[in-house]
Amino acid sequence: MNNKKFIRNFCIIAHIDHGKSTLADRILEMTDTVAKRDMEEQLLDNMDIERERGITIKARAVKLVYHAKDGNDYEFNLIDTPGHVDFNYEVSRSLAACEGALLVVDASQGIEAQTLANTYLAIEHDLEVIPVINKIDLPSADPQRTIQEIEDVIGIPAEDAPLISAKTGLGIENVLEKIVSDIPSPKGADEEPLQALIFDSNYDSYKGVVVYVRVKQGKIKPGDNIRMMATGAEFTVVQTGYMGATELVPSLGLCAGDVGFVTASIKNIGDTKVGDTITLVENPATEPLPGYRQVNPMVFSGIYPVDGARYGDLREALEKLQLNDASLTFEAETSTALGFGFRCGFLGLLHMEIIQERIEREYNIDIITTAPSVIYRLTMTDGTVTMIDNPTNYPKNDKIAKSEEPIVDATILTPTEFVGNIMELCQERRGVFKNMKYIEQTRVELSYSLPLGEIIYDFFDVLKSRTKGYASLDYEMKGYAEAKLVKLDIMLSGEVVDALSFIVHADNAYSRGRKIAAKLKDNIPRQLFEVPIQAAIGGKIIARETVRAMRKDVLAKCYGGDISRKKKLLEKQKEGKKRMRQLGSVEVPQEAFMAVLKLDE
Amino acid sequence: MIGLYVHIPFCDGKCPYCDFYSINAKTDKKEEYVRAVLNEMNMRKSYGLADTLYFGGGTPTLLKPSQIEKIIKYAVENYGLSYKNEITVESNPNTLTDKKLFELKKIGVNRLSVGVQSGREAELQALGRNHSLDQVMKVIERAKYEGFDNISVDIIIGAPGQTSKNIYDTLAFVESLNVQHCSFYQLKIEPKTAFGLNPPKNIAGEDEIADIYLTVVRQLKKIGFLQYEISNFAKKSKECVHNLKYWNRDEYIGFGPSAHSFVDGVRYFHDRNINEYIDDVMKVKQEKVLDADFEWIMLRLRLVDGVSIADLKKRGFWNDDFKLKVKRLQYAKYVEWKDDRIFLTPTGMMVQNAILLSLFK
Repeated sequence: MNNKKFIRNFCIIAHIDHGKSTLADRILEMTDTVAKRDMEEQLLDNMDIERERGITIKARAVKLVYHAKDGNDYEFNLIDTPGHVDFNYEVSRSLAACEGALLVVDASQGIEAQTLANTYLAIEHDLEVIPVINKIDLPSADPQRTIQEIEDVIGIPAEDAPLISAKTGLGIENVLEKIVSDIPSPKGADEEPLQALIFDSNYDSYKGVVVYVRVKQGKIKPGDNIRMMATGAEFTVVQTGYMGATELVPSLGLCAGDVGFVTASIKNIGDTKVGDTITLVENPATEPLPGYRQVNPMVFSGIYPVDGARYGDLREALEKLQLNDASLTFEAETSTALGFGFRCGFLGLLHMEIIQERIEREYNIDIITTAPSVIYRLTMTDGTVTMIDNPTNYPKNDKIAKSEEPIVDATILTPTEFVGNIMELCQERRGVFKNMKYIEQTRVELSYSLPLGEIIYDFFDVLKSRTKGYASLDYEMKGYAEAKLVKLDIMLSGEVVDALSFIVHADNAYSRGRKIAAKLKDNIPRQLFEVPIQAAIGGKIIARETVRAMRKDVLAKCYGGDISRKKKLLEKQKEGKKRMRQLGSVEVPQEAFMAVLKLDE
Repeated sequence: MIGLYVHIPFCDGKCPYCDFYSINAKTDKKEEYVRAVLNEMNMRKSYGLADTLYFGGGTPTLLKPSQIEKIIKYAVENYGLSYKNEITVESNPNTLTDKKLFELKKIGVNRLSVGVQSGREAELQALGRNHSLDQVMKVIERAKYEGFDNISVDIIIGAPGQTSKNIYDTLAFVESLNVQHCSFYQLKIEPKTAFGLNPPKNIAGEDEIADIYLTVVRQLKKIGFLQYEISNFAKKSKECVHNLKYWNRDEYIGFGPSAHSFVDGVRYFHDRNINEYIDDVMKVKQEKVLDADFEWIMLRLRLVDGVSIADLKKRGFWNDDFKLKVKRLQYAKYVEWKDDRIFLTPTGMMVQNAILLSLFK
């Protein structure tokens, strides 16, 4: 039985680099949750990629005890939230598990789009938001301006926001006291039927799926029979407990207000969907907690092993990744050009990049990724409606009555000096301007409606490069809109390479085709025979480049009977060829497939 | 019959492009070294009879003629070499004094290979050569006077500053020398050379090199030099008998550090270390022998004769897939197919590696 009065459940909202992880580390340290010598920098982000990129990919939680100035010990549950637009839904579920949120804002950078979006989300969930001004030790820090901005933009009082430096530890105690005084203790009665919100899960090879929950009401303990209200799956609880900083600590049970974990010999992570409600089989809750929805992938691409023999390894890698990441989908597909591979679905471009990187790094498989695609909605001339996420399956244009593409509402925060550049970029990407709002004299919020298909290529990269890294972006799925779409095919030596085909808006087809042909020309090495590169729409050639035949590839001197050099050279060249894909008679290096993904560099 | 190769690893200086094994001639080990070579020749005399002898380097003409003479004599007495057989010495023009030419001829050298490298002074300088064109002309004149009627000159394709236009100057120079044989080697920049560390900027690119090469092949033909290998050209019946052994997969023994041998189906070589060699002349490393058939085609396709269909059949290469590939190469003018022979065109020779890889994937 817990004493709810002394529980505080909260999360930290911050933009990338604004110091969320550092603050979390300091809090862990100050509450003696981890001894200093055990501290590894940024403890909560425990995947390599997360640490390198400075972002949180998966939510995580930790329980800590704070001895407050009022003489009482408080139990803090800090729930970490992913910091990227691709994981919006996960963020919302993490927020729903809390009563309060720390809003960390960099004193020299001010509020960013992602912070804003997540803060609004927190306010929607009735969370008590405590602004915290970080990095006040920097010479460029302007805490007063930042406080003003928080009050103006978000409309919450910020005058007594703790001014801190998470890096040096300055002001952290203030933050901890604020958590005690400002964030409400959890409500909900232990006697009510069980409602526990799943906000994260991962797979452990011994325990099976570990489900991270916030108990909203009721109790749960080992031996209980539980039911997932959305999926209907039932299990018997093996273990409950809470999250220590470095390991899971078992407990006798969890009560209303608690944040903890549950294991129940669950084999399939798909049974434990984030946002679902756990209840007891006997005396179940009548209603699940609000807010659950099925998360669907929005971006699709083909993933193929460079070495066809590693198809089985790739499948295993994807299966293992899926154990911890229910939002990743994949199914086998075959490409004439690339052989056997998988069509994979991702929440967004970052999610896609992370999965690719993990396959290459953690599973050591060289892969080729085809151009990402969104899901297009096509109404055929016979009235049927199909959803297409793979250019290969795109029907002939004369069979299509109406084609629609997904549209997002995008919010871009930027210093005023870059407004022109951003408008230009959004226009190039077929954006429709909706609104511009001054946040303060030097910063504006731009609202655009943009086709998702236009931002999954290299929108982020270009946005960053055209605004010296200052602009930030957030977006939200809006729906579908009619668009003039065509399928663009790329031909090498006269043969269509299916893996290079993609769907594009008719107005952009020519320039995209020309750019791709030029990129391929730069990335396909000269070979024995000339390689014509053509871009075509429905058989009509719209761009052409040629990789001329190589003219020199010989060891001219076979001196003194030393033929070993020649043999070595040939072997090296043979090895080099293994890194290439043979498409018909053309050898295409892995980089060529990558290069067409980054056209505006 | 076996070919004998003797590596003479001494040079006055290191040319910036050269990757062959040599040490500075000032560290005087020549006498000791010649004894070691004779020692190795003694140990291997059971390998068989020889019909060519080739002194390569380094700069073999830095040896005293009397030292070279000992080796020639030893080969004659122990390997059945005849003075009528081809006995070649490589040389650097500025080592060929009148006296030395006289003596070389006297001791039985009958083929002289001269490192001319270019017919343009600017290229000679860029290549770090210590001789002038004028010197070359005089040396060749004198060699002929001494009775050398089988002289070869080495030229570099792709020397700094060389273009498909000014290669005509070098070709004219070669013509004026009126020799029997010439080799045009493409410069390959090796990592551990002065050029490798600090590559010259004015070296022709892939297309220009190919143009130079094709010009060389075409122009040499006009002045009576027939191509018989990728880099080698000779007047009628003046092909280098010794070098042909390499490409025909005949046997040869290489004496001295860095020298390679192919005897009884085994390939072995000495390390690039003269001291180790002197310590133990029999210490060699064995080389992995590739598939003999592949080696054969790889080497034979260097020759303008190419391969015969009968041989291809005998070695199991000839099938429909191979035939199709050959037809494709023929269509692209890399390969010619005349009667029962298949051989590379000059354009094909420039991409011989790629052709081999395309045939055997």
